[in-house]
Amino acid sequence: MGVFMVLIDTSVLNVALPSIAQEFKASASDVEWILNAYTITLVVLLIPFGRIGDMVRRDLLYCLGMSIFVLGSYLCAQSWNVIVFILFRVIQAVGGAIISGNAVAMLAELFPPGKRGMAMGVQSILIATGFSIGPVIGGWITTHLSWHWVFYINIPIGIISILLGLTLLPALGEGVKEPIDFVGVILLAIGLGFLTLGLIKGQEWGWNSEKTVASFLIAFPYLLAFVVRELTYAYPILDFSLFKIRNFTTCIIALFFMFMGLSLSMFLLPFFLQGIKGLTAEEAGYWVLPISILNTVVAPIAGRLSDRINPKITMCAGPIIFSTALYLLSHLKIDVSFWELAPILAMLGTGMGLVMAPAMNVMITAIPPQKAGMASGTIRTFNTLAQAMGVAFGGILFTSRMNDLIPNYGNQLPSPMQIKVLGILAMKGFGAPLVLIVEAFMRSFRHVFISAIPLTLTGFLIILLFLRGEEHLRIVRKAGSALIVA
Amino acid sequence: MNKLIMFSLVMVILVLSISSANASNEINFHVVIAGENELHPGDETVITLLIENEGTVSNFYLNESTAAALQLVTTAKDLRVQVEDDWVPIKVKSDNPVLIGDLPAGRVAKAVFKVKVDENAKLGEYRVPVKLKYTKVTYSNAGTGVIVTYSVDEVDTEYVTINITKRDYDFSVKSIDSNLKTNRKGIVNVVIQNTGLNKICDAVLILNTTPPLITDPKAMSAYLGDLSPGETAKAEFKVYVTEGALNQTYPATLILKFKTLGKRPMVLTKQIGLKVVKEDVFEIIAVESFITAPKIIPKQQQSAMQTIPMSSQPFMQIQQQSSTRSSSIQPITIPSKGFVKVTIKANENMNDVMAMLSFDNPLIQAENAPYLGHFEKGDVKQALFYVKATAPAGAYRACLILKYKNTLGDEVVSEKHYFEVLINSLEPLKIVKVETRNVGVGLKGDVIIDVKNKMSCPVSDITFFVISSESTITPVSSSYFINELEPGEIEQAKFRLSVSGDAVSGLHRLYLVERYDLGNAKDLVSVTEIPVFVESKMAYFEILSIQSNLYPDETGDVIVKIRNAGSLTVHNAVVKLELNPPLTIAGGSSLSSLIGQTQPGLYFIGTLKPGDTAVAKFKVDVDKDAGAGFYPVNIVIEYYDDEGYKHTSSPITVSVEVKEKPLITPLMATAIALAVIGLAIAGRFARERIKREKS
Repeated sequence: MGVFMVLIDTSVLNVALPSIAQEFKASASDVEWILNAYTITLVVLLIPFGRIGDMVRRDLLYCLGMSIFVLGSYLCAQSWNVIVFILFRVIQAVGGAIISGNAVAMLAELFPPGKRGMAMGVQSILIATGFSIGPVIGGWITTHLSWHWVFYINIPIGIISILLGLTLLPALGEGVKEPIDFVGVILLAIGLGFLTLGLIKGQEWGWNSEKTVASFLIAFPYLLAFVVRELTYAYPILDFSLFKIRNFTTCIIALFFMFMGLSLSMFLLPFFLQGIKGLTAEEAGYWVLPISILNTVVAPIAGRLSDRINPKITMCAGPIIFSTALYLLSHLKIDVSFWELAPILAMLGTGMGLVMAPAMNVMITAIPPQKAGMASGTIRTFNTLAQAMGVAFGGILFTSRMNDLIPNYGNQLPSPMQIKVLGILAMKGFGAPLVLIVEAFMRSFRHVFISAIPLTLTGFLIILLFLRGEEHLRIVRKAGSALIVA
Repeated sequence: MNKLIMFSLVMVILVLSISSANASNEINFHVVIAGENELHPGDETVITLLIENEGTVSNFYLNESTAAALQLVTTAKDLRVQVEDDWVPIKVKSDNPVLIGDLPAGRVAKAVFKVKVDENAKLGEYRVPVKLKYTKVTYSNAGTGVIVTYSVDEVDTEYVTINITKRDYDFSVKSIDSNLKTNRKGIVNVVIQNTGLNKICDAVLILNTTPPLITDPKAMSAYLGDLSPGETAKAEFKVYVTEGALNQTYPATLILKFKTLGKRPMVLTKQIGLKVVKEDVFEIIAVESFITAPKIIPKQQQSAMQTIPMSSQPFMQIQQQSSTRSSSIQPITIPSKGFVKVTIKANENMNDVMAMLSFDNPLIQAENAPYLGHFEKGDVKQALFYVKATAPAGAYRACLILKYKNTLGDEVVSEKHYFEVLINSLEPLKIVKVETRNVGVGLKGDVIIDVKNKMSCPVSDITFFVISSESTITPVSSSYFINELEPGEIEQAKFRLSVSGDAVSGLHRLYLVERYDLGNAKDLVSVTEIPVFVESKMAYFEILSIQSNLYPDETGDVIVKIRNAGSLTVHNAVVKLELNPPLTIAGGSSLSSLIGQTQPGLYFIGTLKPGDTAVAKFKVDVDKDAGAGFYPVNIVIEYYDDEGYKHTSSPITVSVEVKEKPLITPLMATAIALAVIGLAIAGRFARERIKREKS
């Protein structure tokens, strides 16, 4: 429930942003930082809080994270200017990092091997559903209530989650108390912070701009220093020995490519639906519902199957179906109807469901239980970075193609408002720009989908070549026998 | 005794007979008509009488002495022949009696008479008395000579016979009925009768006229068909009487074309007279006019004349003139529009009457030709004409005509009626006060005028249009509407002007075009002048400094420091940075390239009191091919004045510098420094690890 709330909060907020910007008279730059501050804080803190979760009672940490998130939500709703709002978003992100960083670890602790697949499937549903139904809920709340309710809605859910957590959750974690590597945390924060900043702002600043280059120039030495520090320090917050576990590393890299391919292609879909097809955010949310519906159906099944049959089968089938869907999207026509698009999006949801739940199950099963928190944070960090890189890569592909078709087009993504302006110009008899930009958009849009296919196929190859599904089944069976003996 | 008595008696008789034989001469006449004596009813013809003197003499002692007297006593002297027409159906139209003079015996004289035979004369033979008056010379023998005596006024009456018969083919005009009036068409009704002996076949009656009577070609002949002897037929003709015809009868000819019984074509003509009455179609009872004088805008300005959103024709002219003026500078006349009301009384029935007013002066033109509908004779109606005038004040001659359909359905144009129309320098709506607010050089401001109704009746639907004759003063809000002004009432009208930075401060003249309704006269136009004082510059800005860190192929900042150097507080000011390639506003390039227009950068600086400064910041993209150097940029400030009106300052051109890209910028230096620190930290941890592993 916590992960669902955290994820849905991000997508809901995207819809409410115009209303928030209007109330606070925020500039475009302010609006960007409302999103960026949350993302960077989340990325920076996922691993540290995952590690902390391994040392303290994870159930209590989870409730603390939920409390911080609820407090942050309340404060966001009470904000009086945009600076304060951004600050409260950072508080919200701290709570979100605690929740997200420990969610997988909690599942690992709560469900023994053999039953984790189902649990991971359910979590995958929540992750996918959180992204897809967020715009629908956000659109409804913004239209019928106000943007404040986007945050107020978290309070009762959060309080119920805290009460349920305190009453229902057993004492989890509380492993060996070890000192926290604050130096490592700082190095990771600087490295990941600048890396994320460069990735999410590179499109706007320009990939060869001084700021982007500077961001990456700073990020990599500090990430290197963090790696060296973690390899050197006795109590690392990210134990790199985790990556010696073959199945863990295989899955995290494969998921990295899959997430990258997913976000690379999916970030343009709202532009197509809202900008080109002229749908509202709420309507666009309905159009992409087939992804979460199929994911909801497929993910639990795939998760359960991963404990019974070789997970390589489902995990290989996922990227193939996903790539096929990408190929079909690359032939999308401008006048596509919902019922023409829905099967393709259903294939995307099926592909993701077949990959994500088994991969999570395999990763958590492969790692030692005492490092579950650390692993959980690492998985979420890699996923988030993959999403940011996917969007960045997609932006590069899209704008470079647009510049080929429209000289001096620049670095911008076409916004629905821009399309509306061109539509007004077209109604006044100056229709050439609209025709030009729509034609260029569709060609660039298809180009991005085609370009995403190699990434998902790379994920497929990694799974096919390096995943040891039998090993996972062996662990599961072993754990199952232990349970039966116990 | 008896014998004696008998002798004596015989002697007496002899003596008496001898004595009586001394004075015996006689004058007798024989009168006949030369040629045929047949006449026809209605004829006007000439008859010639031949008169023969049959004088005789007896007991005339003819000798040498009396021989000369013989002719004298047998001559009818001073003969006068008179036809007595009292009792016969002919009338002598020529001199009667005819003087013949002396007619010796045995001679024949001719007497010619022009006679008119009564149309209704009874047919038959008539004995026409011919009265012969003459002087008779008598004589008596006396010795060797004769004694002559003149006996005057001897009268002898002879008779000639005339035979009145019908012609073979003839007709007579039984009646003529006409209502011809000057300057219009009328009807002529003619009834003819076949007065010949024979039947007339396929008769066509034609009316032939000469000016001022003009026969309508569509109604100048009538087919009468066959006419038996004595039969009558009616024919109707349309005749137009031209303007200027006199009140008199004019001749016309009736031509009857027909075929005889033998199918031989034949033409008979009759002269008739047609009476013309001089009478106008209508009378002008009263004339009322209201036309103000137009205005002439002095030359020198070109683009100041803006399009005025009116459909009225006078303004079309302004627009046309202003458009042509751009190529050739000419003074422009703003026409006025007034009305002329003419009260008309009809002198005859008229249908579909349209009144048309024209002027001798082409600078005055009637804009309409009102339809007055149907007029009964004696009806009085009013025609309202709208008149556009570009002529100066004065008296002008107007001409009114009516175009209508007469009772016959013909389109007829009436006679012209002339009257006087005045163009006055009236000011129906007087400007009593002019007030300006913020009307300064480089500003937009208001002109508020107080307008008073100087007329004695309400003026309604008043729309004012302000026109500037100067290119530096442009009306922004150029029209104002007032619903109604009672006589003497004062109302305010407000206009907004934009004064360019090139304008000269001082008093300027604007023109106020007033369009209004006066009674039932709509959309009248007058023009008046407004003096407007343009104050010296009240709001202007100074660029105190401009800083930039622009490098090729990068996005940089341009920071502009602005000071309000005017005397006006500006509100909600927005600084617009207008760039030209290779500089573009960051983020605006895509849309700019699509719509082909450079998008300016905008920065809000809010309220600036006089003397206040503000800083505007812009993100600017520099093209990768841009060379180092200074590039011009325009800075425009849009702001609102105290009354909430928007103004735009004149563009201020400044330069921004694009520098050569340094190898290491401060940002990159910082980044490198941080990276080095990061690497150093990494190196230190690596060394520690190596050291630990060694130990």
